[in-house]
Amino acid sequence: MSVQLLIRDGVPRWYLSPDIWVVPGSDPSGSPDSPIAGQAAYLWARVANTGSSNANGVRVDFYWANPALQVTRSNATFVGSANADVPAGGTQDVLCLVPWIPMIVNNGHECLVAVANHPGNPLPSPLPDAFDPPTYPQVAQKNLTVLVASRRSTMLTITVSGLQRADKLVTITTELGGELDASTLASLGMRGLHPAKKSDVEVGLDYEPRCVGDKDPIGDGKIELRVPRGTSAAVHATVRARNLTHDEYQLVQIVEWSENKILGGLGVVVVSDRKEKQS
Amino acid sequence: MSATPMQVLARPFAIEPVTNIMLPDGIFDNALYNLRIACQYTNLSSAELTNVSLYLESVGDPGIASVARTFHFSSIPAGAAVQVMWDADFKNATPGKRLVSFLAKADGFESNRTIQQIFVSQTRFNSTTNTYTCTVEEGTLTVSNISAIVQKPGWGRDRDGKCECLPTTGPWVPTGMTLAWASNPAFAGVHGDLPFSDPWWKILAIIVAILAAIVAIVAAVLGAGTVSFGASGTFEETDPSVTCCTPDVGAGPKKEFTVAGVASAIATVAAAVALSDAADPFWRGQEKTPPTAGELTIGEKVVAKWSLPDPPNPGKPYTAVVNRVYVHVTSAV
Repeated sequence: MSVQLLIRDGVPRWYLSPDIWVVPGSDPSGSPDSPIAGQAAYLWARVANTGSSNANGVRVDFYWANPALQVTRSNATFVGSANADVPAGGTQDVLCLVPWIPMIVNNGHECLVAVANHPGNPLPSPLPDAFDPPTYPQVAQKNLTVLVASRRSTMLTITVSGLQRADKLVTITTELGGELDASTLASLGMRGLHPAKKSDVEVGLDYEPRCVGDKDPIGDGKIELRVPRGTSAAVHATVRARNLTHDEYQLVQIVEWSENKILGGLGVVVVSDRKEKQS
Repeated sequence: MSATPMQVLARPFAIEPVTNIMLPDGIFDNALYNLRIACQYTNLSSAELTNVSLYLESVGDPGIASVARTFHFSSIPAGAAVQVMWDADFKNATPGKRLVSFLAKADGFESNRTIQQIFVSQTRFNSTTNTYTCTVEEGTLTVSNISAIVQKPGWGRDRDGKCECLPTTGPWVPTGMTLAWASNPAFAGVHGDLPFSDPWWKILAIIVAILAAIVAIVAAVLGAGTVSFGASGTFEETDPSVTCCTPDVGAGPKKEFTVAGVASAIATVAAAVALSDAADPFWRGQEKTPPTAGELTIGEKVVAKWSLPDPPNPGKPYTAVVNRVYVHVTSAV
């Protein structure tokens, strides 16, 4: 007899969970879509119970964080909680009715975390600062944002958070390519789009914000960063799309590494501004 | 599988757990920290449902902490409704409209979610001025000069001619109050926003009257940390032949206080009757005193006094002789 709660990690990276989604607008039962800066949205999670005992009274906590790679409890903001009964071998969609308002300064790009709590499947006590979804199946993270890009470069500022008790030396890398599952695309309001056939997107990193012209070098694909404990630092990612068609997307990933372990990451779904012009 | 045909059709409502008094119109006031979120769940199908479980999923205010609980029913007949309720702490609740979601699951069906709205108000008592303020998003209602009688001579006597209720503990029957509404913001035109865009302003007055009647009772039973204010000396005597009183919080829990508090809360219905069962006195006053173009309504006041020739028994018609004065304050004054 056991309770084993699961909020699925994402593919190709764990921080792209398909089991967390956003419904923007005033109707919590509306269609999933990308959050809109400054406007209320509702958070959902899908919780599974792979154990042999029913789990009643599961408390699901929802958090958001500024666009960051490794999301920790100390750099995340609690949104609210919801209760769920999850039968053995079953799943339950869970709605948090506390409205979440994505910050305008981040242009709606935020990271989301959902944590399922139940006495039959407890998290360690005291809780570690890092949410660490790969270690805990009942924790999942969705760091996935949509970027409407054009030939003109677009810059994203991303937080790299230090740990509370130790300095951190990390490597930040960029990756291009990969495919999102249909449900994740649908939750972003991008049903029917398919991955770009060839890499038409460039992405580069820098320590400082800068204006990148159409023909300027895009930046480095890999940088190292030291973050003293209790502080945070920023990296600046520049994205430039050249020939994406309106029905294509390009998945860009910015990944934080410590030696060979992934501490966190941010997925960016780059779509063409041609789609916007057509709608 | 289709969704379980169980839904919450009407607005959930607040029940104070010590007295079991229900607050009207789905209003939850954070002066009472512990309230139950109650609702009627209805089987909308034409068949009996079996092995039904019901639970509260979420409340749209992180300041409202509900206790997770699942109610199980072996069967619920077609068309039948069941009442269920969940304990919640409203101490840190913020005034406004909030969504609440409930889930139902029966054998052979998928779970079904109902989302409803509740209203949260915030009432506070100023012991210096002996006034209550009830705050909602649309404005603030200040209630003062609540007059009440314990019992009119001739009411409530038992077969031996003795008083059924202890004259020192109530129940109190309100016989008047002064209501001042400050709209947020000042408004142009004839009518301003209703509280929560729904109930009449007088409903807030009833909330205040109920709180005045039971807050001290709850504090006496559960301890002073369970409510936001005491309620000593809040009523004015209107009949020298009776003794107006309020319970002493420090006196500790006494059964008669609870009984009297509940009876007092029920008696606040008299205020609802006196403030009119049809249109609200604020609404009527606004219609009688339309502002001219460019004027903004800054404040409104209703002074109401009434007498009750007959005992105000719940469920029976009774007479109230009412005198109301409406004062409309605009930017032109």
